[in-house]
Amino acid sequence: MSKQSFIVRAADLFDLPADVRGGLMHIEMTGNREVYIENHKGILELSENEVRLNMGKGSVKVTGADIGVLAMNADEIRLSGIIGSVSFEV
Amino acid sequence: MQNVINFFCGNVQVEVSCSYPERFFNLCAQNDIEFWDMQTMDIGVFRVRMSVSDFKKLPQVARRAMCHVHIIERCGLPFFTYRFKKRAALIFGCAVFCLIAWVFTNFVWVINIDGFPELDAVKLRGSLADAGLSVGSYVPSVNISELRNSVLIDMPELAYVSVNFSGSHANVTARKRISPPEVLAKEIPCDIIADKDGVVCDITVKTGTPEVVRGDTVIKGQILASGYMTGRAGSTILTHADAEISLRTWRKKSARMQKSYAEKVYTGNEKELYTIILCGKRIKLYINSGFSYAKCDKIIEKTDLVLFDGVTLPISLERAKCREYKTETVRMSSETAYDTLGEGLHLALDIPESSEVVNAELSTSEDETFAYASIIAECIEKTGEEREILR
Repeated sequence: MSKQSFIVRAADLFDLPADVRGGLMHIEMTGNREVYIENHKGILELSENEVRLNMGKGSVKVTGADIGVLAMNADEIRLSGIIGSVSFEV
Repeated sequence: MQNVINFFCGNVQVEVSCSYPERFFNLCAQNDIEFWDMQTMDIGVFRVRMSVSDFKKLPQVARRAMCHVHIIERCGLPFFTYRFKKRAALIFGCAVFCLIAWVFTNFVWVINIDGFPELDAVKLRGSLADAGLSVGSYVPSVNISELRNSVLIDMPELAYVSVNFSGSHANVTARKRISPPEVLAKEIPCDIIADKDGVVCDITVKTGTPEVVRGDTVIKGQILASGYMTGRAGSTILTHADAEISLRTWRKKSARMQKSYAEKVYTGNEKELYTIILCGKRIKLYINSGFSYAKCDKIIEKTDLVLFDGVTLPISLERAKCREYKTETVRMSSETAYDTLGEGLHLALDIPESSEVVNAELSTSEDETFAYASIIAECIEKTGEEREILR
């Protein structure tokens, strides 16, 4: 049994949240002004109208206007601007 | 709060120009470089703010990301203090100021007393000073527990004293001791006796047997109402006599005064002497003695240094004004002498407030040197003093 598989099975057993058990992204939005994303793997593309974040298997695309990075570290990123959409690309 | 922390730790705003900003951000994230407050200036040009410690890691990241970085602004306390690094006098002055402020706050500058209307504040201040708390006392050396005990022993009328220090202010709270009311021993048999000589004007006996009637002349110590009473069966019982008795009394006083006296005449010579009082120590701002003339009046005016919030500092300026005078012998008229004597004699009679003066006669005479006056005042006075009957 691989390590990842063991964690997933253990997390299922104890009813843990999905972002904890699988290292999945956790996204929070404040209206359409801010997006807070946890467990990202880096920025793939950055422009005023679009930000694409690596999520390991696939990516997340945030589109809108005047999008900027408010703060960022290895795991978390906070984007601001007028958010139009958040979509997943597998 | 975060802004305050950022100010104390210091932060740098940098402008980054690069073709692939995402690469720069990813390298920052990998190297634990945290940034905030990002502003996009142009395509591939943006400004970010970061801590000083993260800024030190930035050149390596910029090189790898092929970015050009230049500093826009340095903010915070480390940069602010760095500017004054070479200004030794300023730093020394600040240090001296902090030292003086620290030293002065270790001494009592003001003693605030929160008491009650009858509290003798002067006595309490004296008692506190004896116990070691006065203006200028070193705060850490004051033992509050011992101070409280000492003041309570010194002033038995106080039930509670607390001393709290608020910086250089000593706040003293004092509360009055409420004594239990004196219980009259009504069961102790007693007589009512006269406490002065006079003629009985009115007598009302509530308990006991009257021994005098209206118009009788009594002397001090004479029984006015007896505690002995006769019962129905002829037996004698002892009671606590109670009576209200008024006496007609006569008070007499006489006095004399010299008709000639010495009067001050100011010569017009005046001199002002200034003294600074610092924590009770007097610093004279004059060289010679404070008494400039053989005979002079010294009028002292003391001005305390008060801060805008009403706090009195232990620094004051004393102005002593010396006015020279000489004495001249003046002879007063007989009428003036009699008036002065009459006023003095009225006061000397010392008639209690409960008494009433029915008639007062002033007789006067004089000789070459003195004026004489005597007064006889007829009064209606309350009398009656309890005296225990010893069995």
